[in-house]
Amino acid sequence: MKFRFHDKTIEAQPGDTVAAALYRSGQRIFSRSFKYHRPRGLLCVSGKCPNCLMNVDGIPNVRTCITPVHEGLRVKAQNAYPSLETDFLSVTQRFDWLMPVGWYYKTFTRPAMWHAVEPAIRKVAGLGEILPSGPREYEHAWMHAHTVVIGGGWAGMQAALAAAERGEQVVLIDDQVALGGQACYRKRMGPRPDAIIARIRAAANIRLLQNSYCFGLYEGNLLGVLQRAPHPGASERLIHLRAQQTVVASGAYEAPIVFPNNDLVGVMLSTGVLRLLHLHRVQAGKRAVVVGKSLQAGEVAEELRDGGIEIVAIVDPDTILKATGSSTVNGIQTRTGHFSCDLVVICGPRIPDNGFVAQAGGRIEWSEPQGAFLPTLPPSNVSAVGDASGEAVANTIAPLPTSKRAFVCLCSDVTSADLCDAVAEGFNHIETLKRYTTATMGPCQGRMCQLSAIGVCARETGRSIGETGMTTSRPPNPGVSLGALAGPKHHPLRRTPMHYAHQDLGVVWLDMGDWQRPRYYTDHLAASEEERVLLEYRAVREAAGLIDVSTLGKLDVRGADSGKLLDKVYTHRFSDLPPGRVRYALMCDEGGIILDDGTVSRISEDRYFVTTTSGNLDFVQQWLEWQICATGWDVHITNVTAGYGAMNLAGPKSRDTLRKLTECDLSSGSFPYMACREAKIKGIPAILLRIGFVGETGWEIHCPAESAEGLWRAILGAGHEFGVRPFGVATQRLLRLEKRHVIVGVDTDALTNPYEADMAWAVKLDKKEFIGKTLLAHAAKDRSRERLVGFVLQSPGVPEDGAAVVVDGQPAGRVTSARYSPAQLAAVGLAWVKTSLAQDGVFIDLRVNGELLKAKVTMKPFYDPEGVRLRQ
Amino acid sequence: MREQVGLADLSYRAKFDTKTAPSRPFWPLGRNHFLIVGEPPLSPPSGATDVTSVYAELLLAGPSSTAVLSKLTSLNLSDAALPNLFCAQASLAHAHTIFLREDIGSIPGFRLLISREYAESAWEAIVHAGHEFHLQPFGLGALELLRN
Amino acid sequence: MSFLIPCPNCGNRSVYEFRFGGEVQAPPTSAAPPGDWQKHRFNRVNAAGVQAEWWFHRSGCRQWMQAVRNTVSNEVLESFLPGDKQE
Ligand code: FES
Repeated sequence: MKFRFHDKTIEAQPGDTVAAALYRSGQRIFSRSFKYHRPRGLLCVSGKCPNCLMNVDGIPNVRTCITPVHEGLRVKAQNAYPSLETDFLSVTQRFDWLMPVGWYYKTFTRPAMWHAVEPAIRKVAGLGEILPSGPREYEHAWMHAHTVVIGGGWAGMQAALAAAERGEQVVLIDDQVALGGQACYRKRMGPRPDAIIARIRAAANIRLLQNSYCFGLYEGNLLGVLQRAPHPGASERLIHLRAQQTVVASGAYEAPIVFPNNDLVGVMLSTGVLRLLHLHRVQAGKRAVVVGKSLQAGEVAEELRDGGIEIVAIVDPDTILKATGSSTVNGIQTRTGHFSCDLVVICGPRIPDNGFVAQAGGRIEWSEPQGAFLPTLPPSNVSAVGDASGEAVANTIAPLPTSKRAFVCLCSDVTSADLCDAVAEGFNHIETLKRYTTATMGPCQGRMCQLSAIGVCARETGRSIGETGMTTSRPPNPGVSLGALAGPKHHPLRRTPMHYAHQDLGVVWLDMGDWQRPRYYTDHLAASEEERVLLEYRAVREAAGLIDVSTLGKLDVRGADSGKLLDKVYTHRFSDLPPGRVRYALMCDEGGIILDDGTVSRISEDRYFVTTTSGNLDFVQQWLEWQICATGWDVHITNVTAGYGAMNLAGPKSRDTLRKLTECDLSSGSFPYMACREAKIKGIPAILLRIGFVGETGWEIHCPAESAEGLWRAILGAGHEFGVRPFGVATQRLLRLEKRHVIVGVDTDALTNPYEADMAWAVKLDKKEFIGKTLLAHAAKDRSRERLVGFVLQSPGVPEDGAAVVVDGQPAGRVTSARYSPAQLAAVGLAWVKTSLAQDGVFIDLRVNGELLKAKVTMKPFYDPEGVRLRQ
Repeated sequence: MREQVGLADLSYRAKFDTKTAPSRPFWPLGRNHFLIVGEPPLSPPSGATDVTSVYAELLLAGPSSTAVLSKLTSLNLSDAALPNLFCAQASLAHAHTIFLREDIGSIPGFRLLISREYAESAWEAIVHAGHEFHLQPFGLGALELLRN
Repeated sequence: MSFLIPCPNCGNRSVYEFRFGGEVQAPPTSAAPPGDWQKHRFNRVNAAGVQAEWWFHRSGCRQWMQAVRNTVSNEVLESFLPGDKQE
């Protein structure tokens, strides 16, 4: 297998990670540090530190030490220019005296100063950059399990097998290259647990998620899991995993020891060296100094010797003065002498990885004998096992010398001297110390530095480690890419039954929530929206137009108590509505505030057909269901929105058009305005409502969805000789505005009552009881609030929706809708004004394009004010 | 379908929604809420609302059908949580869906009732999610063959 | 926030499947003065502790239910369909 590292081709062996292959090829520097651009090499080799972050296939900040190689991968270093080996910005470390801890806050105290340096700082700050790359697919998935085990080491595998034997559904999550945890790279753990791994793989009720990591344990035992490369078609999959029991078996990881130059390339954690050796057959160096307490260090030294690495010395951390070397380590200076070497192996403290227990609400407390923070009192559905629980962990805390070259936090180059300075400046609480210095806040999320930072804080403040305490563990940790959180690109779409007929007609779509609705139609692209809308407008006013209104919410309400329910939720009366009639319906809440409007048609004695606005259907249905909760009323509400295609044919020629397709008598004598009938059109069963949102003779036709496209085409065909055209929402908005019809949610807001909206006629206060009655009766007498009025602009121009109303130089309201009206030959619209101005003939000023223009208030429709046309 | 997973459009089937428990086989949707689904022609029980045109019906069948669905819904689809001939309701690709588990012999099958306006978008999402399992659309002919 | 609500029809489901309907409170009588209705409409107890709430299972059975929830721990102590239980 081969892959590219900049312009080099690197050979990889099967099972290699990117970092292992690079190391074998001789690469030693893997990154440049965040602040000082110091060279950094592999440290933990387990995905827990910031040192091996690179750009892999265009993705920044990838931990190369746990990224398996595949053919053709493109790998690049980041945060280094021109190269890892020579990084110009490494001069910054010479000026570290200029950049003490908190230097941002201290230096750029004036905005002008910050503005001057911001561009330069932006350029060098941050980690990695996003390179253009091929399209990337992210997936989401959901899983459910009885028991989830985080960590595929010895303890995790045992826990998974035990749960499986109890018959539970188990999910085992492992983020390492191979199952088995330490046993894969520590000889003292005995032979590789191949038998157990085989049993895990064979168990039918264990689901194994490899190459996956858990990034958070959330409320309700919800685990966020990220699976890398789940299949060739996807780069990442985010799994929402619900468990009843979570077993935290994430083990313990090793942390560095603090001494001057402890960040030199070639200073590695013992577990990192052993991983390279046993997992990848790579010797991290030839001559090694092992740093650690006698027993632990002795074991490591022996294993390394077996692996062919010469051990120069075993050094107690207490005696170390510093590591030597300029970029790569060349030796260790102790109190007794200097030891030359090309590798320093750190046997650091082992930190139980138990952040998940804390996230689940468990307490984490310091245990002096074990030298570790351990979970106490975990919640009943979470447990920690193995090293994560602290069993078999026994750390001696190494000294923490104060030095400007002893790095505590590798992610943001915070030294022990920096921490001491910060404590001296008063940041003596571990949480404020963290925020001020940014220690524990980098890509490693405190894994490498937390214990040392707490140690320094404790020493400097004269408190114990237990008193100093830990910073709070919060998900996500490790981080998750935004693409994975966002998930697949699928966006749900709601299509009306006439969707493809619109497409054939050259539709321009309008997105309304998930719905796609025709905005207007165009047969040649050169025409502007205004021109097309005018054409459609003229068709409706002079011949007839057909609009798809399938998005209207439609509810079938049946049962003996239906009238009673409708009387309760709407302000009008419906129990007395005769079959075959339609009535406008306005819905208010207990506060008398308008919720929705629509129509109610009585199809038969015990069956009503209710329409709602497109966006409020769910709300209205839920509102209706809520009102009948526990009442025992005989009402059955069914949402039939998707079952009916609906279209509105309107205009003087609509009767002539429809007559060609139906035997139903359409004359105003037998089918008057506000009547409804069930009839067949072109053989298709339909519900016809004689209503007129746009102010012309017209019918709203509802028919079974599967027949709707056919009916749509048939009506356009029949109307062709009269000049019937399809029209879209843009035209409908103009037509309705000329009739001064209010759109709930556009012209009204969350505080509008019907009196303010000039719709007193829709409220029947003499009705015995209905929702909102008390406060509506109150509002009917209240003249202090605003009113919604119509206006005609007195000069050319069209105010924008939301434009200000100005009276005597003061803002006095706002425009909610405005359009140029071909009927008035001027802009017309609706606006909120003080009640005193709500009279015919009053003049108000509107701000249009920065100018104040006069407009005349009217309380009547702008078109056919008497409503003659609609009743014809 | 026998080895992987297939998707069919069975929207022609008749569906009725009712508040009173019918005397013929039904799917319980909640307290006092029942659904009848069957091959047309099917006469409606009294008081029921015809929802044939409201719901599209997709049939997802095959050994990988659960794996496909778990990429689109948070519903627990395991044999224990949703056994054969049980039903549940949840979001699928962001659209409300009634899941009817109806295996074809030993092949797991899910009938998915999705509000018609969302159905095409849901179909696209299922086909996309099924790509890794080599999902194939199939027709009534294949369904016949599978049944016999 | 990712706690579970036991739906009487559908079983344990994520809170994201539900619409919150507010605190359960008895409405004033129709003869009550406007002030009572204003209080009913706009004032909330907002208890830090156990309270009865309306929930609508939007992504599931689409029915209204009541749940007794500890607003501090988000533990749902019980849930039932209205009418099944007299408070
Ligand atoms: S070396 Fe890769 S994360 Fe530490």
